[in-house]
This record gives sequence, C-alpha cells and structure tokens, in this order.
Amino acid sequence: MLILGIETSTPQASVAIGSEQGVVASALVARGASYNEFLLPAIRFCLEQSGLGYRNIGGVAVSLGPGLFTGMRVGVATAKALAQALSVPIVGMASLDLVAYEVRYTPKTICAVLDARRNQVFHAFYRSSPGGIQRMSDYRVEAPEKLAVGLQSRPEEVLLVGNGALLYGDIFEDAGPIVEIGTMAHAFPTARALLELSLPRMFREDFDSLYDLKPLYLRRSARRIDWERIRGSRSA
Amino acid sequence: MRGAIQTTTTSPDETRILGASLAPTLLPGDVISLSGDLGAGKTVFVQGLAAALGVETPVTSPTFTIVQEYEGRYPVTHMDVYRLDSFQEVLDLGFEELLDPGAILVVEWGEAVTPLFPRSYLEVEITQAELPDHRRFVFRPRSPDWLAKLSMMRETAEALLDAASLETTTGGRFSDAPFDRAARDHVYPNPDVEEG
Repeated sequence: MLILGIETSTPQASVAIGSEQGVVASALVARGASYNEFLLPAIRFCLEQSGLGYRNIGGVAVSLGPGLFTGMRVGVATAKALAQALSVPIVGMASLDLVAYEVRYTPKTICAVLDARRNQVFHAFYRSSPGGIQRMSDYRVEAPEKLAVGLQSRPEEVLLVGNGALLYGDIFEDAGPIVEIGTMAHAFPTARALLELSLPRMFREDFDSLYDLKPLYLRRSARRIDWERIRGSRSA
Repeated sequence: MRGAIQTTTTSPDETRILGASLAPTLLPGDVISLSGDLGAGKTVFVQGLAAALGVETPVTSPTFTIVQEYEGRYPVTHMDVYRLDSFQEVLDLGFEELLDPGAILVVEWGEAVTPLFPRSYLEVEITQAELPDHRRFVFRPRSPDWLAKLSMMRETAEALLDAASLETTTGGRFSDAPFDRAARDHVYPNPDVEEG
C-alpha cells in the first residue's frame, strides 16, 4: 500500500510517498516557498517522477505538530482534503515522535526538542523500545532554561535531538555532562520518518477520524481580553 | 520605562507626516501597538507610515479584515484585535508567526494583548484633542532601542512638519509625556498562556 506523508510543522517542510518497501519519492524545502505554495506542487512532483497517480495512494499520513501554526494548519487541512477526496484513511502523528524515531538506536533517553519561537521549545522524552520508540512524557512547551533544569534532575544520560536542541545547545550543555546534543542530520521531523512510523498504524487499521483530526496546539490561553479595563483606562 | 514623548497634529495630513517620520527608523521584526478610539486616526497614521515604506496599495482599516499584509521596502503586517474577545482568538490567527522577524507588525489595540508581545515594542496612543481635527499622540518606547528610534523620528517629524506648514517651530512640536500609568506588568513569556 502506498502512503502519502505530509510534514509541515517546522520551517523544513517535506512530502514523501512510499510503502513498507521504502520511500519511492520525496521532496523537501526549507526556505523560500510558503507551505501552501510548496505542498501540492511537491506532491505532484513526487507522483510524476515515480510514475504514479493520486489513484495509487492508499492512505495519507500527516504530522500534527507541535510546530509552527501556519504549517500545521496548511499541512493538516491539505492532508484531510486529500484523504477525503481520494476516499482513503488518514493517520496523524506527532512531529516530536518523528524526530525521536530517527535516533531510536541509542540506549540513552531521547529528548526531542523543536524550536517553538518566542524563546520556547516543544519537547517530549522517549526511550527506544523493540521496533520503535516509547514516549515517556507529555508534549510540552516551555522555555529552554526550564527544560535544562529538568534535565539536571535526571540521573540518566540524555540525547537531545531537534532544531531546538541545536538552537539552545549551550543552555542544555550547561545542564551537565550526561547531555548529548544531536546533529543537524536529525534536526527536523521528516515525511520519510512519518511514512515509516505511520505504516504499522495503517496495517492495524488504527486510523484517525477525518473529521476529528486536529493539529496539536500546545499554547492555549483561557484569558479573555479585558476590554472594559482597557477602554475604561483610556477615557479616565 | 521612561522616555515617552507627545505631540499634537492639526490635520490628517500632519498625522500622515508623523507616520511617515517613523518609517525610516523601522526594521523587520519591529512591533508597534496603536491605540485610539474609532476615528482617532490610527489608519491615517499607518497610511503615512506604509507609504513612506514604499507600500503602493491603499491601506485601509483592518478592523473587519483583522489582518492585512502589505509589500513595501519590507513586508508590513497591519492587524486589529478590536473585534476579538480572547487571547486564544489572537493565537488562532497565527499571531506568533505574524511576529515574523522578516516583517514590520502594527497592531491596532495591541495594548489589549501585550502579554503576547515580544519584550521590545513601541506603543502609540492617539486621542482626539479639543480642536476639530487635532489629535494628540503619545509615543511610549518599550525598550532602549525604541527610545533611540523615537529620537530619530522626532527630528524627522520636526523637519517634515515644518516644511509642510507655514510656521516654523524650531523643534518645539514634541514634549515629554507624563510618566506612564502602571508601567505594564509585562512578563515574558506570558504566564497567562497555559503551557503544556
């Protein structure tokens, strides 16, 4: 079964088409085009270059973030529209899982860290497990300094991967000698990892509901804008 | 912080000139909060600012479109939060990406959502003065950077306003604004945005 994977949660957006036999086509861009300028032409490119058509796609996998707002919106909306139009199942995966999955062969604890801008990072902890990874914490957004404090209190060795780990490398390295920072090769979630990680779920028919699937928004605010105070203070 | 300055413009044209005077100091990544009642002249001020940045399309009030983007020497994003009720709605507009380091962001009624703002920004408050068409502007810098930009703006504005009017004021158009009411409890990152 050929799966289309869409990953747009970071500035490095990618699409890939593949099956349990491996990736047959993939495209990636990290600057220039906006997500919506890139996405559909990239999918068409992958299909054309591999001699496939939309009718060959048997499922859609999409990264739900956490990640950049616009990318998640465009990626998830496009994936849902394609899954609906092609009448194929959809599976959503977390961007942080994809980053951790790429380094699953380490015996260390894995911490996937993506840049959330505004001096914050998205992160989650993992350990490798037979055939993949197991997540050991919630997806969180916080200041890198706060994550560094959390790292200090851990007894075990930790491998930090992702563009957030590189961006705030000095802060995390100060957290102690048990911290290792991953390289640029593993800095971004990719559609290729998404394909691989989504295949078991496709085979298990562990699909997501097309209508309920949403990006993972970690920044929420319940606060109302206090218009009375603001307008009041101005007329005072 | 200290360093707020104020001035009064006597016509929409002067308001445009004031906006244009701020333009040469602006760089991508700059954030300006603009407050003032309906008809105070927020859009006119932004029209002057945008025109001086080389924006050729007409600038209109974003009250109903919420976000408008213009291409000038730098991209200019013009936003209005007036019709929004919650911080979540602001976040749902992709606010954190509108704070694009590659664009200049002007937020009408930004003072309502300053906890979502970066550390450094400029606050501009416009009120109607007693005389018709007169508008009082207060500029409050929210970082030393903006303090420096304001003094550049002041010089430019004095020169341009003098050139555009019959009277020469030799640098008397601006005065120090009274010290801010409650220098806003600005915490960054904002604890009111739940995390996790």
